[in-house]
Amino acid sequence: MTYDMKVKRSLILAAVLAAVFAAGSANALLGQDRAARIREVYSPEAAAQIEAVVEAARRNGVPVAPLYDKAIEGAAKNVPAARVLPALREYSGRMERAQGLLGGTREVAWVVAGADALLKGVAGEALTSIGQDAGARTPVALMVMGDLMEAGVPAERAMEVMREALVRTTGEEGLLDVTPALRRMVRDGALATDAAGRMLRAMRDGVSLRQIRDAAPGRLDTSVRPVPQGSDPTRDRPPV
Amino acid sequence: MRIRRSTGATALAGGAGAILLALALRPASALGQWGDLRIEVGGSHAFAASGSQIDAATYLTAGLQVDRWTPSGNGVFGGVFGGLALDSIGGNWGSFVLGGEAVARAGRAVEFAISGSVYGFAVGGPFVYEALTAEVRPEIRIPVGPAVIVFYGEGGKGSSNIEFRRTDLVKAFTQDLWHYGGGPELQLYFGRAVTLASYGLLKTAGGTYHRGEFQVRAGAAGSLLAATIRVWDTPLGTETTGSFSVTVPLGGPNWFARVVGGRTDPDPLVQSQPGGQGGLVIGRRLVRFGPGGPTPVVILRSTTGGVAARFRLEDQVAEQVEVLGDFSGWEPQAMVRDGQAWVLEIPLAAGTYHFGFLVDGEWFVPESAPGQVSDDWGQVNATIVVPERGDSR
Repeated sequence: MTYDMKVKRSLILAAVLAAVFAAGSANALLGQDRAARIREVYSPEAAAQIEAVVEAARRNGVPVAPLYDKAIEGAAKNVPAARVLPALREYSGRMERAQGLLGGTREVAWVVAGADALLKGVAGEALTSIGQDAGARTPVALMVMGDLMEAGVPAERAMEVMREALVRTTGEEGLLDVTPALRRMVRDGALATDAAGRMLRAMRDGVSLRQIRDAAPGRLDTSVRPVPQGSDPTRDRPPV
Repeated sequence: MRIRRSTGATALAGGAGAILLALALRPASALGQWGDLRIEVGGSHAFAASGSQIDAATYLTAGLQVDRWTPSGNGVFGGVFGGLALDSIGGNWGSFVLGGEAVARAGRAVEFAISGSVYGFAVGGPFVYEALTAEVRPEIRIPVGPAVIVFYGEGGKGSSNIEFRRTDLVKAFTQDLWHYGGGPELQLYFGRAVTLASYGLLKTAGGTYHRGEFQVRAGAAGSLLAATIRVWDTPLGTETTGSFSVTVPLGGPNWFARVVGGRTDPDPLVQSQPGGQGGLVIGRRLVRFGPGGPTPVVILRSTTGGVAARFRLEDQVAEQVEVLGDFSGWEPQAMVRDGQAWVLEIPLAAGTYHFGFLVDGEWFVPESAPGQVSDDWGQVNATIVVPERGDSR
């Protein structure tokens, strides 16, 4: 590809991205829009029932925006209202429980992440513990804790990994490397439990999660990421 | 690397037409970049070669195929295929293949790979025939710019059984099959196409075989083309063979048609009689496996009131990819093709968002997506957390 072609391609991509970027902004729903949207996509009866679930949640201090989002998601996925309503009630209850376990927080991001973590099997005590240890990083920490458990890491070991990762990393980015690092080792043949143990030891030995994530199979200490033929995202992948 | 080698089994008169079709129709290449599970149904025909003992026969064919690959090139594949004879000449047949490939690397300079497969075949009367073979192929690969220089070895072992029945007389024969050898190979990558030229020297029970091969594989707009020409120098003479396979999408991302055809190789592990075969199958992808590679969303930078998040999904087969989630009011946002991936930047305020992709209209969340959680209706959503300050990632 010539320089001119690269420039032209970049400009076209930038223009398209800019247009879609603007479209994305326009499509984000504000609070008051959500209720209107529910009335648009559901029958009056269904919308009224959804509004009743939302109002009940509001009275209990549960964030209502995620409930509206869930209902809109259901409509987008063509789920019948009869199946959306139980899911909303269940979600509302889960958010309320998560909220309580997280010290009554009113941060929507915390409550949603907490509700998801409960759904994925994270115990109430672990939820509270992470909420106390992770501070502002609580939503990401809860998400990662849920991912670890879903990957098959036992709860206690997952909690150990999370505590170590919270100490060894700064910012959300460091925490977000936990799951890819685990998946990398599982993909290379390790059991999730063993992978979590190895990850724990590697972190304690000063190896970063990023190094583990990018290491070649069987090597946790490499600082050079191998780029096999066809897997370098900057190059065209051969057809299969 | 998914350039398959041929493995096979002895084919004699009577079973030959069936085995040729089995070889032609068995799993050869994935339709999806990361693999998929698909079913195929169609018809096929084995052509009688001039002067040979093979009779032409027509079959209804059906098969189930699966393959699964990781970004690092390790993978497995398998499938079962069968044919129902539509005339009295051919026999009903069935076949299976199981295989895999493992890759290890020494830095960026050299790649070691080993692939192997087991292939089984059986055809019923009037000429009962069974075969089982195993083949292994170690490779050393040296990438040099857009080319890969390969030195490969090739070894195969198997056995076949054949029964001749004449009213009350049954004669059964068992034959051991083997070959080993190797040679150099040059692969050249041009965007979404690859060409391959190779030479092989094979030692077999029937003498020494020399094989020259040229192969082209190319993909575009959901279609795949593969064509091969081989020249064989065998103790019985020189022969030129070839095969092709064309796969095209049929009005959607999951339906496709595959046409195969070609002339039989005198592969020493196949020992088939000369002849040709062709077939057309209609297929449906039942499951599309997702990438296990880069996370599909990263936060690029802080913006006023939030961040700019970049969504990225690798998929070279899809015609259209959209992303949607809490942040878009669950309205699909069209993504833009960028090389082998689809990308889109979206501004996000602080929060925890559920999202996913529509790949050619079908819900899809890649394995590498963070925060996968049930949506309560039988599917899975991914999650992105945008921190309050928005400057951490």
